[in-house]
Amino acid sequence: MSRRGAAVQLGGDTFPLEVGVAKRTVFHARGLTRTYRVGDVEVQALRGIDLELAAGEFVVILGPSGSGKSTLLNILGGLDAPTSGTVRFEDHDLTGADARALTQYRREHVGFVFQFYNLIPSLTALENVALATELAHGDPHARAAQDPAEALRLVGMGDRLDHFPSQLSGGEQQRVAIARAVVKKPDVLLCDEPTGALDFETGKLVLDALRRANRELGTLTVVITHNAGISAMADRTLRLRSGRIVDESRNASPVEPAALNW
Amino acid sequence: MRLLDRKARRDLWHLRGPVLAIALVVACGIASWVALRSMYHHLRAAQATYYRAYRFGDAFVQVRRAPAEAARALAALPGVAAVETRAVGQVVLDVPGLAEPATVRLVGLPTDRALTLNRLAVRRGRLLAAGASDEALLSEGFAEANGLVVGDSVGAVLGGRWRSLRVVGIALTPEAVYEIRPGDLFPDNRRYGTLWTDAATAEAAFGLAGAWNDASLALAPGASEPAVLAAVDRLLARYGTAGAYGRSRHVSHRFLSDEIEENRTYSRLLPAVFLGVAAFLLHLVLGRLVASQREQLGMLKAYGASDATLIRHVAWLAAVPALLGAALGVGFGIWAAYGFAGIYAEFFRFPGIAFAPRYGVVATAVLVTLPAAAAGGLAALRRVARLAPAEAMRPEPPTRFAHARLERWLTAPFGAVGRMTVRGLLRRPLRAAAATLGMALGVSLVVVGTFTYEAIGWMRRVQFTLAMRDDIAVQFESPQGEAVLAEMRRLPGVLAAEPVRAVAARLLHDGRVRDAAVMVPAPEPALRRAVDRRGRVLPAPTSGALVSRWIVDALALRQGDTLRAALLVGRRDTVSLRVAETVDDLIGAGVWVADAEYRALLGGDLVTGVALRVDPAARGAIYARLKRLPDVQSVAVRGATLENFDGLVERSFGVTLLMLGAFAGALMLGVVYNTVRLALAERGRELASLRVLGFTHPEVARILLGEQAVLATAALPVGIGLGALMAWGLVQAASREAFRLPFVLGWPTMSRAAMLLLGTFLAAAILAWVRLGRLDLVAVLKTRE
Ligand SMILES: Nc1ncnc2c1ncn2[C@@H]1O[C@H](COP(=O)(O)OP(=O)(O)O)[C@@H](O)[C@H]1O
Ligand SMILES: [Mg+2]
Repeated sequence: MSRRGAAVQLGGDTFPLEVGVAKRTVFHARGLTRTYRVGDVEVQALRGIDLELAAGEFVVILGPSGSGKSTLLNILGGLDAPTSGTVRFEDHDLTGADARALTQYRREHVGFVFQFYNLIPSLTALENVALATELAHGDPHARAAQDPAEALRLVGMGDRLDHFPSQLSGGEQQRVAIARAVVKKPDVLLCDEPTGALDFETGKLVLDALRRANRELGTLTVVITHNAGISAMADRTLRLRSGRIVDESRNASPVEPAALNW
Repeated sequence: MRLLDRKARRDLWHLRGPVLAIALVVACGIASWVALRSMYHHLRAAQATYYRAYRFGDAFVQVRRAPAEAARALAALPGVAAVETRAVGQVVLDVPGLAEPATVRLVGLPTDRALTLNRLAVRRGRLLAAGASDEALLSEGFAEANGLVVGDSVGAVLGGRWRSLRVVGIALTPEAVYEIRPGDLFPDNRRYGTLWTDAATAEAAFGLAGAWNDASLALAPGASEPAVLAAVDRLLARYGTAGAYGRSRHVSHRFLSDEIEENRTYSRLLPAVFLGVAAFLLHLVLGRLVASQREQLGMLKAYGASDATLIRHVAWLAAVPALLGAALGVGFGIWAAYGFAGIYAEFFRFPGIAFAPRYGVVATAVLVTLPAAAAGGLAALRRVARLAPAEAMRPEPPTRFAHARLERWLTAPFGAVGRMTVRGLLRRPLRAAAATLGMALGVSLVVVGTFTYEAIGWMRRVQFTLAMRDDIAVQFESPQGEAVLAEMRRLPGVLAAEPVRAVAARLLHDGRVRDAAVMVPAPEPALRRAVDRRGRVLPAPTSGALVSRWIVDALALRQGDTLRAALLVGRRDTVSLRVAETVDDLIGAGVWVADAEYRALLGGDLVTGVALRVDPAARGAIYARLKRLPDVQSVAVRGATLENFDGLVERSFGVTLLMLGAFAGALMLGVVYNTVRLALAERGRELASLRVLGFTHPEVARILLGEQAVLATAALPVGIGLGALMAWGLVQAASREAFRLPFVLGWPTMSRAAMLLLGTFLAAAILAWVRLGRLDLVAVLKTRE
């Protein structure tokens, strides 16, 4: 299946997938700062970030530990609010939104992948994924979700539907988590060090699952890592240092995850 | 290990909620131990001291009339150490300040010598002067309730003559520690008491000049009570004896001993319940602590901390809530014991034996908490000891879940959230069961407490609105002819008068003996009726006898059996009665026969009392007449009895109910709060992940509380069942001749238990709600735990 200039058919919905420079911008961030105050000490986690992210992009954010990657991701995901600056997601102003609106925003538009998977231990792989679609039930704004089993097949877990998290390896758990994140067809998939707890080979399997979700569903995917090797598979790489974007590079020919090396 | 201590202190501070909740449950257990155990020891010691110092008799006997030689013959019986004989009976007393007539047990006292048995404890004033026939002593409860002091006068018709008696002393007797009018449900100090006069006055009052009708005996050490009682019966047979009996059938002794025993039973039961639940809660909290700190503990081990050090570290965390609870419980228990002692002082009168806390009880209280703490901490301590450093350094793996047939079947109908709930419960069935049991025990305490209240209310209804519908009941000294009714009806203000025909009898069957009244139900509409425990009015039997279940059980009777009845009045013959039917009644114990049968048995129409309905406006005049009527043994005013009944129930049961409610609340809150907190701790990360995924605050609250709601919902029927079981036990234990508690579990009991459970659940739900609102969504993205 080719991504270029095609329309992908999935679960009865048609997603036009555009290519090239004219992609629709979904995130606009201007002058983002975030200051944490711990006692008398102020920690400036973000010191002025301007950022635009377009639909369908695969973006890697690189940076040393403490550079503000997670803080930025959390603000994009509606989990944290900037101290100053503005963020817009399409027509939602995330900066002024209250907790309820942010929950609604996450529900409708965002998928998360955590470093430690955070699956529900008492639910099977299939049920963990179905949980996310259950959220959509009775929600007038929700779009038709994918079939949970289909989402698990997409990440290569089609044969482990009935397993509990404790019966899965770390990489497998992470792939279930990715299926859970993409099953409701979010506009954006935010992943904070998704391979941080995994070994090299397993990590690549997970990245492959992310890549497939990104391509086949056209989801804007943001992956945080401190592993520079991963940037080879990205459409775009941002480098953070001390709360600022210090470098940005586009990658005309991203490689397949299987070919990554670090 | 100063730093480790600091860590322990900080852990404790962090766990202050659960620690406090557990301490509270422990405190309830210890408080009930201290209070009930102290009361048990106090009452038992007071009883023993009192009996010994004032030489309470070992055996008692009443006769119609026996001469002085009979007393000497009694004293000569082998096994009898001492004998005290006297004239005893009931009379109606005019008390200044009391409109209605009071009833007193009049007891003759020798004035020329000291009593050998049942000595009086003179509280105020003095004993009777020799030959002073116008002097009297009053029992303390009666005097206090009526505001009578030394120097006041009371009046009575004695031996057909109005006599004014001057109160020279206020006294107590070991015979009436619990002073209750025969046939009453509760003591009524204002209207019933003891009056002592000199022997001659008492003898004259009951037509016993130079003779006696009541004896108390002290047994020689090692004497066999049954043998002595049999010998006494043989000796006194010719004087018309109702049969000798030991202390076990002495009314006052029996009530007091039952109460002491009850304190002992509850002093074991309640602490066991509370400490058991506290141990379970400790097990939960410490288990969680060790699980969440396995990395820390592993690290400490890796750095060389010994098992002993770490075990001491965790054991300390178990000891603190236990000891804190013990301290709170001891304080509260002593305070409650003083309160109980105050209530008991109203019912049981001892001379100058004040309640004081017992250090032995306090010491054992602290000792019994330690096994509870150890039981609660054991599993956690074992885990600490077993923890391998290397393994502990790895994060806890996800909780294991696996499919099982039951699980598949139970989860099938649910969506993902429902399945989480079901699997959460199935994963730790023991914990779920224990939590349910803990809450259920709380529910059961409410059920038992409220049940007692309800049962007494039911008894009140049966007794005072269905069975007794008269305003005034008069009992005669000796049976009268039918003519007395007309006499009574002539009294101004009497609207209706109905004969009461009830003679005391000693019932015999199959070698067993019981005392009861043989009665004739009046024709409808009657003022006094036989009513069963369900409030059904029983018609008079056409032939044979209607017998109380109490007697049927005690004498091992069956329908159609024939029992023998020795009548204590009238001809005093032994007659035979066929058991036609059993009555499941609540109050007293009786045998009802048809009018004709009664006449045949007694050889005449013997009216032993009258029940009156009177014009309220004429009450005063009627009371005044009754006080001066000769031959009246006792007057009972229904309104006054009810007022006294309600007051006593309010004062004694009200406090108990309140306390039981508070204890039950603490128990439920302890369980609900700790399980909810545990769920929050164990599943906080899971729930925060769900929040990140877009679950709303109410949605995750529903997930967390769903499990708790299932447990609480299960606890309600289990608790009501347990409570019903306990109530049933109470019904059995409290089943005695004077009354049987009815087994009524009505809406008030159920709803009160449900409300308290719902209340504690809501409190925990609010806590969970607030905590879930503060979940750190960012933190779950980063780390485990
Ligand atoms: N909740 C917080 N309180 C105080 N400081 C914080 C908090 N979260 C992050 N920081 C600080 O903000 C800076 C950026 O953190 P973060 O965004 O987590 O970095 P990264 O993900 O790149 O490692 C760090 O210096 C960190 O210590
Ligand atoms: Mg980070």
